[in-house]
Amino acid sequence: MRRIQMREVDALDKIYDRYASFLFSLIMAIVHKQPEAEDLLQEVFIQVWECADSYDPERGSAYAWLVTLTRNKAIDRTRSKGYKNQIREAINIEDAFGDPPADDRNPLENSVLADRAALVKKALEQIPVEQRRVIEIAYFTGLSQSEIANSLDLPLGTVKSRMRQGMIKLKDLLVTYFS
Amino acid sequence: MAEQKGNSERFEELCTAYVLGSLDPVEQQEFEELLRSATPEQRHFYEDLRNTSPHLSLTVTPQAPPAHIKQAVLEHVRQGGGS
Repeated sequence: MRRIQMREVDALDKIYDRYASFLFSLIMAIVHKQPEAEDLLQEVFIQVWECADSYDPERGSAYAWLVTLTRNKAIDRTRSKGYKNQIREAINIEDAFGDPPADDRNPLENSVLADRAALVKKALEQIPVEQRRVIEIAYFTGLSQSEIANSLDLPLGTVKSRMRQGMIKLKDLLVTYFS
Repeated sequence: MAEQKGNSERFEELCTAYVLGSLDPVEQQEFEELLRSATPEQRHFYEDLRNTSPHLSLTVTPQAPPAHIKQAVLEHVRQGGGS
Protein backbone atom coordinates (compact mmCIF):
# COMPACT_ATOMS: atom_id res chain seq x y z
CA MET A 1 0.00 0.00 0.00
CA ARG A 2 2.88 2.35 0.73
CA ARG A 3 4.06 1.96 -2.86
CA ILE A 4 0.58 2.72 -4.16
CA GLN A 5 0.56 5.81 -1.98
CA MET A 6 3.79 6.73 -3.81
CA ARG A 7 1.87 6.36 -7.11
CA GLU A 8 3.65 3.23 -8.35
CA VAL A 9 1.35 1.58 -10.88
CA ASP A 10 3.23 -1.72 -10.60
CA ALA A 11 2.20 -1.91 -6.97
CA LEU A 12 -1.45 -1.57 -7.94
CA ASP A 13 -0.91 -4.28 -10.54
CA LYS A 14 0.47 -6.60 -7.84
CA ILE A 15 -2.22 -5.89 -5.29
CA TYR A 16 -4.82 -6.54 -7.98
CA ASP A 17 -3.31 -9.93 -8.76
CA ARG A 18 -3.20 -10.79 -5.10
CA TYR A 19 -6.68 -9.78 -4.00
CA ALA A 20 -8.96 -9.34 -7.02
CA SER A 21 -10.37 -12.87 -6.94
CA PHE A 22 -11.31 -12.65 -3.27
CA LEU A 23 -12.79 -9.20 -3.65
CA PHE A 24 -14.70 -10.15 -6.80
CA SER A 25 -16.19 -13.15 -5.00
CA LEU A 26 -17.14 -10.96 -2.07
CA ILE A 27 -18.90 -8.52 -4.37
CA MET A 28 -20.69 -11.38 -6.16
CA ALA A 29 -21.84 -12.75 -2.81
CA ILE A 30 -23.42 -9.38 -2.05
CA VAL A 31 -24.82 -8.16 -5.39
CA HIS A 32 -25.40 -11.56 -7.09
CA LYS A 33 -25.08 -10.01 -10.55
CA GLN A 34 -21.93 -10.39 -12.61
CA PRO A 35 -22.14 -7.12 -14.60
CA GLU A 36 -22.66 -5.16 -11.35
CA ALA A 37 -19.83 -7.05 -9.71
CA GLU A 38 -17.44 -6.33 -12.57
CA ASP A 39 -18.35 -2.67 -12.49
CA LEU A 40 -17.86 -2.50 -8.74
CA LEU A 41 -14.52 -4.29 -8.79
CA GLN A 42 -13.21 -1.77 -11.27
CA GLU A 43 -14.49 1.08 -9.08
CA VAL A 44 -12.84 -0.49 -6.02
CA PHE A 45 -9.37 -0.61 -7.55
CA ILE A 46 -9.67 2.87 -8.99
CA GLN A 47 -10.67 4.05 -5.52
CA VAL A 48 -7.71 2.19 -4.03
CA TRP A 49 -5.48 4.16 -6.35
CA GLU A 50 -7.20 7.49 -5.78
CA CYS A 51 -7.72 7.17 -2.02
CA ALA A 52 -4.64 5.19 -1.01
CA ASP A 53 -3.63 7.99 1.34
CA SER A 54 -6.64 7.20 3.52
CA TYR A 55 -5.15 3.82 4.40
CA ASP A 56 -3.57 3.90 7.86
CA PRO A 57 -1.54 0.76 8.69
CA GLU A 58 -2.01 1.43 12.40
CA ARG A 59 -5.75 0.86 12.03
CA GLY A 60 -5.46 -2.58 10.44
CA SER A 61 -4.04 -4.61 7.59
CA ALA A 62 -4.22 -3.63 3.94
CA TYR A 63 -6.44 -6.64 3.34
CA ALA A 64 -8.91 -5.52 6.02
CA TRP A 65 -8.96 -2.04 4.50
CA LEU A 66 -9.58 -3.42 1.01
CA VAL A 67 -12.31 -5.75 2.21
CA THR A 68 -14.09 -3.03 4.15
CA LEU A 69 -13.93 -0.65 1.21
CA THR A 70 -15.21 -3.35 -1.15
CA ARG A 71 -18.00 -4.55 1.10
CA ASN A 72 -19.20 -1.00 1.77
CA LYS A 73 -19.33 -0.20 -1.92
CA ALA A 74 -21.18 -3.41 -2.75
CA ILE A 75 -23.73 -2.93 0.02
CA ASP A 76 -24.23 0.71 -0.99
CA ARG A 77 -24.96 -0.50 -4.50
CA THR A 78 -27.61 -2.93 -3.30
CA ARG A 79 -29.21 -0.16 -1.26
CA SER A 80 -29.16 2.28 -4.14
CA LYS A 81 -30.79 0.03 -6.70
CA GLY A 82 -33.69 -1.46 -4.86
CA TYR A 83 -31.95 -4.73 -4.23
CA LYS A 84 -33.00 -4.80 -0.62
CA ASN A 85 -36.50 -6.19 -1.05
CA GLN A 86 -35.12 -8.86 -3.29
CA ILE A 87 -32.61 -9.85 -0.64
CA ARG A 88 -35.15 -9.65 2.16
CA GLU A 89 -37.56 -11.89 0.30
CA ALA A 90 -35.01 -14.56 -0.34
CA ILE A 91 -32.30 -14.54 2.26
CA ASN A 92 -30.32 -17.47 1.13
CA ILE A 93 -26.77 -17.03 2.19
CA GLU A 94 -25.84 -20.37 0.65
CA ASP A 95 -26.08 -18.58 -2.70
CA ALA A 96 -22.87 -16.84 -1.75
CA PHE A 97 -21.10 -20.15 -1.63
CA GLY A 98 -22.48 -21.64 -4.81
CA ASP A 99 -20.21 -23.20 -7.39
CA PRO A 100 -18.22 -20.49 -9.10
CA PRO A 101 -17.23 -20.64 -12.75
CA ALA A 102 -14.09 -22.67 -13.36
CA ASP A 103 -10.95 -20.71 -12.66
CA ASP A 104 -7.83 -22.22 -14.11
CA ARG A 105 -5.62 -19.46 -12.70
CA ASN A 106 -5.92 -20.90 -9.19
CA PRO A 107 -6.77 -17.66 -7.40
CA LEU A 108 -5.80 -19.26 -4.11
CA GLU A 109 -2.20 -19.16 -5.15
CA ASN A 110 -1.53 -16.85 -2.27
CA SER A 111 -0.98 -19.45 0.40
CA VAL A 112 -1.23 -17.02 3.30
CA LEU A 113 -4.75 -16.05 2.31
CA ALA A 114 -5.63 -19.67 1.58
CA ASP A 115 -4.41 -20.78 5.00
CA ARG A 116 -6.26 -17.93 6.62
CA ALA A 117 -9.45 -18.79 4.75
CA ALA A 118 -9.21 -22.39 5.98
CA LEU A 119 -8.86 -21.20 9.57
CA VAL A 120 -11.82 -18.84 9.27
CA LYS A 121 -13.97 -21.66 7.89
CA LYS A 122 -12.78 -23.94 10.68
CA ALA A 123 -13.69 -21.30 13.25
CA LEU A 124 -17.13 -20.75 11.76
CA GLU A 125 -17.82 -24.49 11.86
CA GLN A 126 -17.40 -24.32 15.63
CA ILE A 127 -20.09 -21.68 16.01
CA PRO A 128 -23.69 -22.85 16.39
CA VAL A 129 -25.44 -22.69 13.04
CA GLU A 130 -28.16 -20.27 14.23
CA GLN A 131 -25.50 -17.81 15.41
CA ARG A 132 -23.47 -18.25 12.25
CA ARG A 133 -26.53 -17.60 10.12
CA VAL A 134 -27.29 -14.16 11.55
CA ILE A 135 -23.61 -13.17 11.26
CA GLU A 136 -23.45 -14.25 7.62
CA ILE A 137 -26.70 -12.55 6.72
CA ALA A 138 -25.55 -9.31 8.35
CA TYR A 139 -22.16 -9.45 6.66
CA PHE A 140 -23.32 -10.38 3.16
CA THR A 141 -26.53 -8.35 2.97
CA GLY A 142 -25.90 -5.31 5.15
CA LEU A 143 -29.34 -5.75 6.71
CA SER A 144 -29.87 -4.26 10.15
CA GLN A 145 -30.66 -6.48 13.11
CA SER A 146 -34.32 -5.40 12.91
CA GLU A 147 -34.48 -6.32 9.24
CA ILE A 148 -32.85 -9.68 9.93
CA ALA A 149 -35.35 -10.34 12.72
CA ASN A 150 -38.23 -9.57 10.35
CA SER A 151 -36.76 -11.68 7.57
CA LEU A 152 -36.18 -14.70 9.79
CA ASP A 153 -39.37 -14.14 11.79
CA LEU A 154 -37.38 -14.05 15.03
CA PRO A 155 -37.61 -11.72 18.04
CA LEU A 156 -35.14 -8.85 17.76
CA GLY A 157 -33.59 -9.84 21.09
CA THR A 158 -32.83 -13.30 19.73
CA VAL A 159 -31.02 -11.87 16.72
CA LYS A 160 -29.01 -9.51 18.94
CA SER A 161 -28.09 -12.29 21.32
CA ARG A 162 -27.09 -14.71 18.56
CA MET A 163 -25.01 -12.06 16.83
CA ARG A 164 -23.24 -11.11 20.05
CA GLN A 165 -22.50 -14.67 21.11
CA GLY A 166 -21.41 -15.77 17.64
CA MET A 167 -19.13 -12.82 16.96
CA ILE A 168 -17.44 -13.11 20.35
CA LYS A 169 -16.79 -16.81 19.71
CA LEU A 170 -15.47 -16.06 16.24
CA LYS A 171 -13.20 -13.31 17.58
CA ASP A 172 -11.83 -15.54 20.33
CA LEU A 173 -11.20 -18.42 17.93
CA LEU A 174 -9.47 -16.25 15.35
CA VAL A 175 -7.33 -14.50 17.95
CA THR A 176 -6.19 -17.96 19.07
CA TYR A 177 -5.65 -19.29 15.54
CA PHE A 178 -3.76 -16.24 14.29
CA SER A 179 -1.61 -15.68 17.35
CA MET B 1 -22.35 -4.90 40.06
CA ALA B 2 -25.45 -5.97 38.12
CA GLU B 3 -25.52 -2.57 36.42
CA GLN B 4 -21.86 -2.93 35.46
CA LYS B 5 -22.56 -6.35 33.94
CA GLY B 6 -25.55 -4.93 32.08
CA ASN B 7 -23.45 -2.07 30.69
CA SER B 8 -20.76 -4.49 29.61
CA GLU B 9 -23.25 -6.72 27.81
CA ARG B 10 -24.83 -3.71 26.14
CA PHE B 11 -21.43 -2.56 24.94
CA GLU B 12 -20.68 -6.03 23.56
CA GLU B 13 -24.09 -6.31 21.92
CA LEU B 14 -23.77 -2.96 20.18
CA CYS B 15 -20.12 -3.54 19.33
CA THR B 16 -20.67 -6.88 17.58
CA ALA B 17 -23.46 -5.44 15.46
CA TYR B 18 -21.51 -2.22 14.80
CA VAL B 19 -18.56 -4.01 13.22
CA LEU B 20 -20.99 -5.88 10.97
CA GLY B 21 -22.71 -2.61 10.00
CA SER B 22 -25.97 -3.99 11.35
CA LEU B 23 -27.08 -1.29 13.79
CA ASP B 24 -29.87 1.14 13.04
CA PRO B 25 -28.79 4.81 13.03
CA VAL B 26 -29.91 5.50 16.63
CA GLU B 27 -27.99 2.54 18.05
CA GLN B 28 -25.01 3.35 15.87
CA GLN B 29 -24.86 6.79 17.45
CA GLU B 30 -25.29 5.25 20.91
CA PHE B 31 -22.37 2.93 20.31
CA GLU B 32 -20.11 5.66 18.97
CA GLU B 33 -20.80 7.66 22.13
CA LEU B 34 -20.03 4.63 24.29
CA LEU B 35 -16.82 4.07 22.37
CA ARG B 36 -15.62 7.58 23.06
CA SER B 37 -15.75 6.89 26.80
CA ALA B 38 -14.78 3.21 26.59
CA THR B 39 -12.33 1.59 28.98
CA PRO B 40 -9.04 0.30 27.52
CA GLU B 41 -10.47 -3.24 27.76
CA GLN B 42 -13.60 -2.25 25.85
CA ARG B 43 -11.53 -0.50 23.20
CA HIS B 44 -9.36 -3.60 22.87
CA PHE B 45 -12.51 -5.71 22.53
CA TYR B 46 -13.75 -3.37 19.79
CA GLU B 47 -10.44 -3.44 17.91
CA ASP B 48 -10.31 -7.25 18.01
CA LEU B 49 -13.85 -7.41 16.66
CA ARG B 50 -13.14 -4.80 14.00
CA ASN B 51 -10.28 -6.99 12.80
CA THR B 52 -12.49 -10.09 12.92
CA SER B 53 -15.29 -9.06 10.58
CA PRO B 54 -13.19 -8.66 7.38
CA HIS B 55 -12.17 -12.29 7.71
CA LEU B 56 -15.74 -13.30 6.90
CA SER B 57 -14.96 -12.32 3.32
CA LEU B 58 -12.61 -15.30 3.13
CA THR B 59 -15.51 -17.73 3.40
CA VAL B 60 -16.58 -17.15 -0.18
CA THR B 61 -15.03 -19.27 -2.90
CA PRO B 62 -12.54 -17.18 -4.87
CA GLN B 63 -13.62 -16.48 -8.40
CA ALA B 64 -11.35 -14.80 -10.92
CA PRO B 65 -12.81 -11.68 -12.51
CA PRO B 66 -12.64 -11.21 -16.28
CA ALA B 67 -9.24 -9.97 -17.46
CA HIS B 68 -10.64 -6.81 -19.03
CA ILE B 69 -11.30 -5.32 -15.60
CA LYS B 70 -7.63 -5.23 -14.68
CA GLN B 71 -6.80 -3.76 -18.07
CA ALA B 72 -9.40 -1.04 -17.57
CA VAL B 73 -8.12 -0.21 -14.08
CA LEU B 74 -4.50 0.03 -15.18
CA GLU B 75 -5.41 2.02 -18.26
CA HIS B 76 -7.34 4.45 -16.08
CA VAL B 77 -4.48 5.05 -13.66
CA ARG B 78 -1.81 5.22 -16.39
CA GLN B 79 -3.85 7.94 -18.08
CA GLY B 80 -3.74 9.84 -14.83
CA GLY B 81 -7.35 9.24 -13.86
CA GLY B 82 -8.15 10.84 -10.55
CA SER B 83 -4.61 11.89 -9.75
